[in-house]
Amino acid sequence: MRLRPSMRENFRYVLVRITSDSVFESRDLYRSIAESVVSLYGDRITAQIWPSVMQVSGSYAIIRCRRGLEHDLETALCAISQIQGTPAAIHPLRTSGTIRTLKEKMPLCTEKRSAKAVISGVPCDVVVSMQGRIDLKEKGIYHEIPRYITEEDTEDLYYDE
Amino acid sequence: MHVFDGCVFPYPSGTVSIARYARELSSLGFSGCVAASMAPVNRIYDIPVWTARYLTEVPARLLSREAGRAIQVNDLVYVQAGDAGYNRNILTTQGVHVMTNLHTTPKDGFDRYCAQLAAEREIGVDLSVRPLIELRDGARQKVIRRYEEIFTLQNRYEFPIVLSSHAADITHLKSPREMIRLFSLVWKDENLLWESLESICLIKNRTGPVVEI
Repeated sequence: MRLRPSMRENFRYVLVRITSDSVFESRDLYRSIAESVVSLYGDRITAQIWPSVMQVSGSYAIIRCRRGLEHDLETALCAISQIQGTPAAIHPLRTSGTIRTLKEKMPLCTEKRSAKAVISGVPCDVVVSMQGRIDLKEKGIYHEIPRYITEEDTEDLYYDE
Repeated sequence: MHVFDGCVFPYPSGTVSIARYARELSSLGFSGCVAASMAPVNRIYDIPVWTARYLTEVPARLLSREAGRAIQVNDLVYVQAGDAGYNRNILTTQGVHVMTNLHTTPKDGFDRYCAQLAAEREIGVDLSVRPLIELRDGARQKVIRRYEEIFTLQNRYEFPIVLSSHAADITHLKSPREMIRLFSLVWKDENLLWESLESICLIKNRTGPVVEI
C-alpha cells in the first residue's frame, strides 16, 4: 500500500557499536535484537517498536525504530549479551532522525593491526586497535595472562609487516 | 560529578587487565571504578581505580576479623549477602562498605530492619546489571522484583545504592547511560539512579555511623 508522504511513519535511527571478537551480518544482528526486544517487552510492544537493522559497517551499525520508542529500543540493545552464540555487547551511541547524520558521526578510523607482543615473558600474537588496546588472538591457551590488555601491560610490542 | 562503576573483576577473576578496564571505562564515560579481588598496585591508570576485597561465604564469626584485615590493605570491603540473620551481621560489622549479590539471597533476606541498619551505617547495597542482561524469562522477572523491593526500601530509608556492571569480560561493560536504561526497567526515578552511580565516593569517605541524639 502506497501512503502519502504526510501519512508515513516517523522513524528514529540509533547508531550502535558492537563489542565482540567476531564480525556479524545484519541478519544475525537483527535476530538477537528481536529476541532481546521480545524477551523484555513482549510481542505487542515489539510490533510498535518495529526494530530493523539498516546498515552494518564493521563494528558499527544503524538500527531503526519508531519515533518515541527509541528509549525502549536502547534498553533492549543494552540487554543483549550474545549474537549468534558469540559473547557480544551492543552500545547505543547516538540517536538521530536521519541515517545521513549518523553516517557523518560514525568513526572512520577503526583500523586494527596484527602484531607480536611479549607479555609476562610469553610471546603472543595480538591485534592492536585504537588507543593502544590489545586483544590476544589465541584464546584460552594462555592461562597466565589476561586476554584483553593495553600497550602498558606488554614488555615488548612489534608490528607484523 | 564522579560516576563510578561499583564493581569490576579484573584478571585473574576475569579476562581483562585492570589497565584495559580503566581505558574502556574511561571511553564509556566513567570517571572511576572499583576493582574487586585484586591487590592494590602503585600505578596510574586512565581513571582512578580503587581496590576492594570481595568476601564471599565467610562464616559470621570470622567476618569481623576478615573485614578488619581487608581494610588495612584495600580501599573498600565488599561482602556477599546471605540470609536475613547473616545480612544483619554484615551490617553491624565494622569496616564493611558494601553488601553485594542481594538478588541471590532467600526471600526476605533484606528486610526493613536491614534497610534501616544500612542507612544508619552508610553501608551501600550493590545492584549488578549482569542478572538483568544474562538471565531470561522467570529468572529475570524474579531479579527485577527483588531489585524493585530494594528500591522501595531505599525510597523509605535512604540507604546508599551502588550500581555496578560486575564485569569479568570486555563484553560485560556498560556505559553509565546504558546502566540507567537497564535499571529504569526497575525504577523510573533517573535522578536516584544517577546518584547511585556516584554513591561509592560518599561511602568511601564516610566518617562513621550516624549517632541518634
